[in-house]
Amino acid sequence: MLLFFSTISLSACFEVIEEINVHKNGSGNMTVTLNLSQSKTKLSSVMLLDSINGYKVPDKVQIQRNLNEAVAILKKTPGISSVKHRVDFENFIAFVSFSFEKVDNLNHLSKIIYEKLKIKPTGKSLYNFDTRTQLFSRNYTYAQEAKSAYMKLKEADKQVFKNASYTCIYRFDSVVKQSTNKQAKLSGTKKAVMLHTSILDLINGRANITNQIQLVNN
Amino acid sequence: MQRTKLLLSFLSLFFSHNIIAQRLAPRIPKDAFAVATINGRNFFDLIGIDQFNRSKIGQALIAKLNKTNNGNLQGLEDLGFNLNAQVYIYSTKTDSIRYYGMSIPLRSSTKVGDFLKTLGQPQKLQNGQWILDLNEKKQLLIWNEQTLYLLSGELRNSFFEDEKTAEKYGIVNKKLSDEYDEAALDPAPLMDSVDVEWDAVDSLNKDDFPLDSTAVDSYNLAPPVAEHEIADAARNSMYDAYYASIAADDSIKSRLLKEWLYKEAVRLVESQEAFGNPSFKKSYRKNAMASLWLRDINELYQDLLPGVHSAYASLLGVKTEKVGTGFESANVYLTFDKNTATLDGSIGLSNNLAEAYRRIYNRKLNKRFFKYLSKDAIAYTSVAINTENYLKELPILMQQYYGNLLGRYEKEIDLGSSIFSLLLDEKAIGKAIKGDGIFALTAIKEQEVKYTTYEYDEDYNSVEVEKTKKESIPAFLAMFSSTDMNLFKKALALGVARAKLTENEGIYTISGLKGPLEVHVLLKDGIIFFGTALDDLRNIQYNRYESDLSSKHKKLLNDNKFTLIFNSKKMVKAINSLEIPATKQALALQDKIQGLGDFYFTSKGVKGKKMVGSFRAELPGSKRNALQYILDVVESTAFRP
Repeated sequence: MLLFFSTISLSACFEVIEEINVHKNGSGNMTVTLNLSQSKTKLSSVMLLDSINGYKVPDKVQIQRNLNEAVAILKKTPGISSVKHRVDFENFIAFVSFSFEKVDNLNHLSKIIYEKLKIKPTGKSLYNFDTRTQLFSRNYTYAQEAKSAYMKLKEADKQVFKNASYTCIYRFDSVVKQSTNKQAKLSGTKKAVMLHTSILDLINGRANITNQIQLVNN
Repeated sequence: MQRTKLLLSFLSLFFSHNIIAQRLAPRIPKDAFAVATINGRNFFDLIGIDQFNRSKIGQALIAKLNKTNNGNLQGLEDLGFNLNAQVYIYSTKTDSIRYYGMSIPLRSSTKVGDFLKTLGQPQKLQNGQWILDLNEKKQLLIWNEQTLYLLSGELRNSFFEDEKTAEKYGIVNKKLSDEYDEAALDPAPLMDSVDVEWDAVDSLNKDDFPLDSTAVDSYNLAPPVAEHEIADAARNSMYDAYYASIAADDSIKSRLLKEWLYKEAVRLVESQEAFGNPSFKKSYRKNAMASLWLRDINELYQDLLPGVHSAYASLLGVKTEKVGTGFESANVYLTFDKNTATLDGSIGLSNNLAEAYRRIYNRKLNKRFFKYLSKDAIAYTSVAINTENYLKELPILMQQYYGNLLGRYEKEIDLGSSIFSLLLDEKAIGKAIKGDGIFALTAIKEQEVKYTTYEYDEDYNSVEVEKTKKESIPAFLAMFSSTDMNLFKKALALGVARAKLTENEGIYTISGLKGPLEVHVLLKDGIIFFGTALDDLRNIQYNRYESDLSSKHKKLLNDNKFTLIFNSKKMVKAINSLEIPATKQALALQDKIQGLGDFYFTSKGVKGKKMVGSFRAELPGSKRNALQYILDVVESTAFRP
């Protein structure tokens, strides 16, 4: 997945956190958090403006509306339930969470969420969980366009990505036997895998978030 | 076309000459209501003609002019204009048209004529005058031995909206809405009844009517094409007629414009009447590089307000002919000296208004403020008015201005003004807020700012945590005087009681503000202080604040009723420390600004019978004078390799 800011590219720093909890039967829940809290001083000033660096600054109503749209789509999607969302305009943190019946549901849903959060993916992700073999996989293909789109940005806008980070966490009911991504770390309980990378690396195709996670099958 | 453009931009650049006011006369029509003067002598005194010719701008201009002039031009003086004389740009108006003119004195009409002949075919008039019609531009050039005039015009639409006038000139003023009104006369089925029938059809049970293909076939299902076509054709012809009518009106207007321009041009060159407006004559300033004179501000208001034909105007009872703002003529001057560029402006006031503003500005800035200002401030602004007098004058000014204008509501406005006076205790307010104050952007300070992020437990469950980081935040200090602090004391006590404020050793902090700024309040020695930096306020409280305001800035603040001072060097530093993403252009501009000195906007309020104000930019003394510095900046930015 991920990422690439478009119109709200005015902050200096942000983080995106993707958390996926997968149960043995393949159902689970996902939370996507966009945290711009580190840039809140600038954002609160920017929100007072109409536009900056030639971009229109979205107002609270508009941001809320985008998120509501994403939620409405999620709610209508078969297999999806418990859709929740929240925007904290004081700290500039937004999150969307929902439960899914099958990991496959994520393949098109995450795309919708990022679209509504105004984040452009740096590549395509395919999620899969084989309940029989208990193999979770995420196949990520880097999209060259991300880099060329980034190169087209004004110098000032590129600054936004300097300290931006992406974190994905997968949590399981069972213990992880093997995780193929060397960059990913295994939790103390061995039931969770985390991958933390800079967004610039994703844009430049220097980070690969593909991972095959084999759980102990018993 | 390019040549004309070039000529125009070139003409507007310079010239002049030190003629006595009386001799200027024929070059400005006597009914001009706005005149801009460009003093060529002053320009070329600051930048010698040789130096200008050698400059990149001069070279580029000569090269372009030479393209049409067969390369005969060595320097701008070869064009035949009198570069040491004044160029006037002016405007005159009647109820039907507004003229814009420019008059340029000539040194050699032959040379100018030769050059202008490259732009078109001039005709020779009587008395040795030449006229050249720049058709596409709707402009006329007319010249004699002494002067070249450039004339253009703009018809006033309101003039042709009058039915009788329109009829006189054959203008139809056809409106599309007229056509709709006619169409509305055609009988058409009422939508409601159609809807009812359709609803009735919808409510029928389809099963009661099994579909019989033969029955369906028996209906003629072909759409009534012919009828649509007729309707479309009618609509098309309606639009055609409408646009044809507009085109016909426009062509009449174009012809009128041309005709009137021609007449005006001849009137200009033949006129012996002097432009003797005393206010203009009095406004002459020898050292101004450029100046602007406006006959009467009320005329501007009249033009900006809805015209007499406007429905809104009549609805409001606006009497545009009765605009009486109390403002009179206005002047603006641009001057350059050693290393400052100054823009001075003034607006003439009626006796009443001058008196009213004098009373409003009857206040000196509290000198104790100076004890709390530092020369390191990025910018500060001051204002000194007399609140009590302001509140007393305001209803009278409103009544005078709006009462005249909105004739129909004169009584209501009068009543409103009286209620305003009745409700306010001007004296009490004037004591609480005297009307003088300063707002200073003191510094960019590093401040700890809290933010939210996440940490993960051993199962990688995210835990929201609060962290801090240092951020540069602008700090300000504001102060205003009061001779009755009771109101503020009560307000602060109430704030504390309602938990909106916290008090610590006599300094109040406004809590719950969004964003990282904390605002503190201190009352001391008849001054109310507001500020973001607690240490500044503590220093003020315990008389530890070290002021090092320069005597120059002290004088500026002291002498003016309004001041805005920018320290451009500090401003650039401050912007940089805020880490605001900047574009390359912005950085280039920052670079230039950094080299500049201070910028000032000041106003002494009323001086004589005028409201005055001025903008001054201090430029580096690296060049012989301010104009040379500006030319240098233009060259290094616009002509960058």
